[in-house]
Amino acid sequence: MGRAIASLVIAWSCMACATRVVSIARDHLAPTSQRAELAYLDELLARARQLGLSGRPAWRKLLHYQPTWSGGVESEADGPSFFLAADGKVSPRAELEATLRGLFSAVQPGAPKDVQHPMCEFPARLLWLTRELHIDHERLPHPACERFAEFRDNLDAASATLVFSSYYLNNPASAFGHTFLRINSHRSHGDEERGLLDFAINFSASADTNNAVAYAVKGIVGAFPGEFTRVPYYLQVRKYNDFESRDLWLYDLALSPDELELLVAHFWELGSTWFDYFYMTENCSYHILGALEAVVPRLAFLEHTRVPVAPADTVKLVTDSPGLVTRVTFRPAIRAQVAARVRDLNRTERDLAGALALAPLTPWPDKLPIERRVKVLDAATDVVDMRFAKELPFDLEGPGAQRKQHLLERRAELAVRSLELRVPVPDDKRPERGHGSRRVGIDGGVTEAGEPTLGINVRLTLHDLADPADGYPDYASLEFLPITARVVLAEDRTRFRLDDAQLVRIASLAPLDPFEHRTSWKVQLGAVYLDDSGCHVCTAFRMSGGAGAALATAGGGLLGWVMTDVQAVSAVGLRGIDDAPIRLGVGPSAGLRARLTSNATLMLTGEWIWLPLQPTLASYQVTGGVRWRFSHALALSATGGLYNAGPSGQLGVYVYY
Amino acid sequence: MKFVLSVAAASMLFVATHGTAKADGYGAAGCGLGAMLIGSKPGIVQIFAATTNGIFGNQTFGISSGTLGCGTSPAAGVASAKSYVETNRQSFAKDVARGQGETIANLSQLGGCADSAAVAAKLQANFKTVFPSANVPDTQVSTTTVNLLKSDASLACSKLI
Repeated sequence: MGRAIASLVIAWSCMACATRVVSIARDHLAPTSQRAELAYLDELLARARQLGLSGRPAWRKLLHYQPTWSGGVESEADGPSFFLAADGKVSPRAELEATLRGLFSAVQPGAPKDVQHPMCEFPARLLWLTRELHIDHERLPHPACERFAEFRDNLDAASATLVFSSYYLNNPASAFGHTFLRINSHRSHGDEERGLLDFAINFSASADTNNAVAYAVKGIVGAFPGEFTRVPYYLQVRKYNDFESRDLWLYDLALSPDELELLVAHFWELGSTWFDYFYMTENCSYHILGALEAVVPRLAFLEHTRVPVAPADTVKLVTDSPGLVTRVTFRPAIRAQVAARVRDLNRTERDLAGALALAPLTPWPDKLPIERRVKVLDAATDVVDMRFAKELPFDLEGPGAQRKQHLLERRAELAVRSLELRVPVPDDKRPERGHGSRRVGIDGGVTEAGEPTLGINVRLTLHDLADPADGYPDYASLEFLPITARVVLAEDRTRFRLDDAQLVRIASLAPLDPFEHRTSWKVQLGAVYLDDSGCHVCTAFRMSGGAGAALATAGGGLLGWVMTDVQAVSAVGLRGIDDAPIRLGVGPSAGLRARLTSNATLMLTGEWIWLPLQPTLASYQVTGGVRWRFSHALALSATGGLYNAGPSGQLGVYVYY
Repeated sequence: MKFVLSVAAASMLFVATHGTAKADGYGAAGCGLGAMLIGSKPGIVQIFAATTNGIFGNQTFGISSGTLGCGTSPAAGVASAKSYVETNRQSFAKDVARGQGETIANLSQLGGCADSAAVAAKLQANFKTVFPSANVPDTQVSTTTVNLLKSDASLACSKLI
């Protein structure tokens, strides 16, 4: 299905990407005519056939071939310049032989400037073939390969690190997180402080339009080509840590020098092609795994990915590979930096920092020693950076920029060095420590009518507020396809009923603190079970959302929120506004969560919805529950609810996998 | 599936709040963060840019695109240092005022300067020269910084010649 859609859109999308398609090398190569070279080529071709090289997993992975439905293979690379054989996309053998022939060819005079000799364009294939066939480079042509050499020298690879950028709830679309690779140079040797100048290799969809309508349409049909790019690591830090306030987790990889050389060469190869970008499957994290697998064929990542490919799951695959990760480090986002600076202040100083962040010229109180002024000013400046993160890069005239300037001028006048900020590493939030991203559960209990019931629930991904906290954001819930269905064992007959089937359900709670007042919000879209006077035993489509405020205790042990909700409901047989099958409502909702232990959570929620001009004037719902994780992947759940139709309750068990 | 999700993302537009952008065109603004993030485009573009992680609005960083427009190269001296200062401006300003920090340590390395602590002290003492006001353009910040470091022979910034 995905493939079918893909092939439909390729033709269309490439009208747009044609502007930056690189020339196709095979159209501009002339085969060798030298007898000695031809003889050596024949020898290599024969040896490759004899060894069955094109069937080797290493070759398959280097060319990104994947099995197809019909039993063949097809490369996931979609740019035609990635293949030297016309049928290279579907034929590993033809491509291997065309690559060997390509090594002995010459670029025709007058070819476009971007055409590279195959030895330069496919240095990873050359490395691998050389190792397998013991190719004597003295007997090959000697193209200069300046561009590849510049790329390789700039990266100056000493090691590689996988970087996970954490969940970003404030933009639903990137809520799952992101991964990329950092190539650590010999200059930095993986030292985080010195590593800003190293390069990140990032896979992302390329925006080839600034037109919002075109962007939306192409986003919807998945028509963006995904490309590997080389980005300065400092740009990633500025974007993720500062602009979006996302923590970075770094996993140093144990790659041998040979593997690392192959990785750099392979990224060069990938630079000349693109992969159609699929948000759920062939996304950023998928192709980063694919590139790692291509150079370390013993790793079998891709066959273990699942749909959707969640970035945190790919981190788990990497950390679960024995010996692959040598060290895990952490780079705190601006929000975590503020928290660390504020922890270092006493109450008066904290108030002062808050006041300075609003009014940067607030005078110093008497007798505040200079080293404390330094700490207060440094905290206040970070607060301004956090609060105005989205404005500062664009608006040098705004209040954020003005306040920051005043604070920094005062800070520079103190003329002493700040101590380096040490942010404690929240090891319990390492993404690979989180519960499994999928969940299934069964339960038993009684319905609102007092009938016994058995339920089953599934969730495709990822986390809700009552799930175990390790590895996930404290105040966020992000669920795709949570579905609960139940069998009601009534006296007269056994019924099936769909309780809840959401496409998506997100809550982003942002507890208010003295330094930041962000809105808490939630949104969900899907089907719900209703039983009231306006809709008797019906399954209704519902779109709802809410916005409000949250509060939490210092460690997050107790969390509460209040919101104003709005909803639109529609179902066959529903009597709503003017007896039309549409129900519109608005009303308050609230919730409370207590973390009893790190593995046990108590949740209480309630909502009251006013349904003006409708037969049912209001609906309400109160739920309470306890969830207790008693082993790594298992949790017990007890819930009770009260709504228009009456009280209900269930006991159940969840499995995270 | 993807279609449905995209619709879901679109239906959530109301929760995404982003300030209106005033980014100058690429080039005129140098290599400032604002000029490079697609985030500078308001609304729906931002949503889909995030969906696909396509954050940068141009092909500056293509692997095979050769010489870097905005970026650094160990060999490129002044141009690299300027581009680096412009992109890191917000963080760099804090480090300059604090007389310490990783953006200065890495700038010292790019400039081939002998002692990062001396560079930091020099910059802190000249904060008002480098950042005379909030609205000084990124390109002016980077030029002033490089000139300041070049002008002090004791810093021995060998790559800024």
